[in-house]
Amino acid sequence: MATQLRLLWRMHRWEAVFFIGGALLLSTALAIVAWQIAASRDTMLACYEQSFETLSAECRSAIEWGNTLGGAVGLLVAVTTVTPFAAGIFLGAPLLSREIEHRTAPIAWSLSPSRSGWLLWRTVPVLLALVIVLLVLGQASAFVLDTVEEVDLGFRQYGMFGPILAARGLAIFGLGVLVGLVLGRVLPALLVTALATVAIVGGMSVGRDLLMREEAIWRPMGDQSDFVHMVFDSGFRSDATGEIIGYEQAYNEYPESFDEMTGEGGPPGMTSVWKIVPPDAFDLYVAREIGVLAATFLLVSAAAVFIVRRRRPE
Amino acid sequence: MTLARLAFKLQPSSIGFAAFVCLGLAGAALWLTADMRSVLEACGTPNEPTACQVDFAFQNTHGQAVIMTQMGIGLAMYGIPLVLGVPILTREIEHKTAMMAWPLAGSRTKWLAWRAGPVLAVALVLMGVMAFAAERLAQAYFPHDDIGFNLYGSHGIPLVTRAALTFAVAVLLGAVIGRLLPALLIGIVVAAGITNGTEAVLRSWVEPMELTQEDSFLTGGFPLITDLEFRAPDGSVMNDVEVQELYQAVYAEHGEDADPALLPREVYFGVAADRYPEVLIRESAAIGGAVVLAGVLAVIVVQRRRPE
Repeated sequence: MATQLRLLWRMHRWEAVFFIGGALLLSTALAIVAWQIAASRDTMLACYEQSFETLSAECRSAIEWGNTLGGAVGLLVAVTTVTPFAAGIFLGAPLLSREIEHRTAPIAWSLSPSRSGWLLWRTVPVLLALVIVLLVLGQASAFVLDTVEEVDLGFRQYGMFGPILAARGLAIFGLGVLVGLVLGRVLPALLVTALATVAIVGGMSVGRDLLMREEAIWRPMGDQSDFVHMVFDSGFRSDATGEIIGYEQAYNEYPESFDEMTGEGGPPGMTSVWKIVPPDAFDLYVAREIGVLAATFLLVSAAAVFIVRRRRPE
Repeated sequence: MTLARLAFKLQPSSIGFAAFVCLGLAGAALWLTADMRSVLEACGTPNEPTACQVDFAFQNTHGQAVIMTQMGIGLAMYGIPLVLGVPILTREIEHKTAMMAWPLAGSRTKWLAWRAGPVLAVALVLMGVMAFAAERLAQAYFPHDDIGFNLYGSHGIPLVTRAALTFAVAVLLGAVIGRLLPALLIGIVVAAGITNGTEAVLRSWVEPMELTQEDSFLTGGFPLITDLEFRAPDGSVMNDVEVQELYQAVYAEHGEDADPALLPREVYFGVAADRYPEVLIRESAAIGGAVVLAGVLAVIVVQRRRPE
């Protein structure tokens, strides 16, 4: 077992250091930023209560530090969002394609009692390391976003935190392994996996948007305006009949009920409504995407096992 | 000719990928450009679209597609040169064909030129097409303005020069590291450095000046803004605290209808949009020098590298 792991490390140390180490470094940076923001919050709030003219030097530097931390959050979270895809591509695609390209795979296959066993030993340790660091990264990102945001995390931070990062990394890694196994060359495998990743990300995004539009429900506009982000339509609902009309129609039919300057107001006997995906559906959408990604991973893994068993040792 | 054909045959996947991505993005950019222009054809007619009058003419109708395409071009201008440049030497070193090719070639410099030259030509053509399409797209998105320094570096000639620099650095990295994946990974970091580095030195190519009202972005141009200063009505420079104090004093005395001449004046410093060619020439010369330097270094590394 130790020999297998040592061999795996020697073959993939560059990518492992870059992505596994990089993800851990990123998690640490996120945790430090979150801790610093939490630690300086009281000072900052006290400073903001002072009038601008009488700000002390300490307050000025505290505000400047707060701004620096705020900028760091944006950058670190952006990198966090991209990391699962990049790590999945660069760890998955070369994993087997390199051995096939360098013709060490046929030797290993003839020496190994089972090709499936060989495949497991090559992929599972890297996969475990990837999933664990992405789970850690997802938690660190959730920690920093929780510290920064004043409301519960939801659709606005979709894909930036939590176990969805690990699921994305898992699926792309599996895809990379399969592509590498089929193509048997490192660079083409990397490029094809990258293109497939773009297609998957685009497809998932479009699919999610369609599903949300389909499942969105009409709700009265209320106090939730601060944390409802998935708004697909808005209008007015008749209190008597329940019929919904759009803003433009309402404005044309009842122009006198709207303020000329601000456009605020609404027809009498009607309630302002919007078509939204409620914030509490966020967990459902995350669970669905994780489910789809896990199923994709299982599918590509089965295909990889099938191919590795049948591939000619050329 | 045989050597050029060999160079293409060695990199079919990277060249195919580069062509697919660059031509796809260029096609998307040109399609969006044509679509936005077709909207403006109705200008001057009784039912002219609002895009005929407003500066952000297509923000609501085409904004998302334009941003996605520009983002793709922004990534491809660094990603494609890396994908084309890094494998030129790493593949031959990794597969140990370089150790056979070098003793057989009359000169390693010529060998490198024949390996990198055709790929560089392909890269420049693809980047040129993409840069042209990106330029058209940027101009079509702001049909009533001189786009000046808007998204500088991600369209037109600056896109091509930056891509050429990334390509030269990618070849150099491949020569130094000699392994595909490590060189590619380090190349990504270096490309990020090139992006930030070129952005950081952009304001140093010409002396920033006080922007007049005509040069200002408020009147529709896209200057390169380098600094913002507040001036008192008597022309003296004010700090942030003095600005706040003056605002409060004026509003306390005159209310919301205070004469704007009594308030602090914002003065922008930067490079006006009409100085774009000046900046472009200087930057292109500097980046061209960097490309030559990276190329020379790659030649030195190839000449001195052990054939192992």
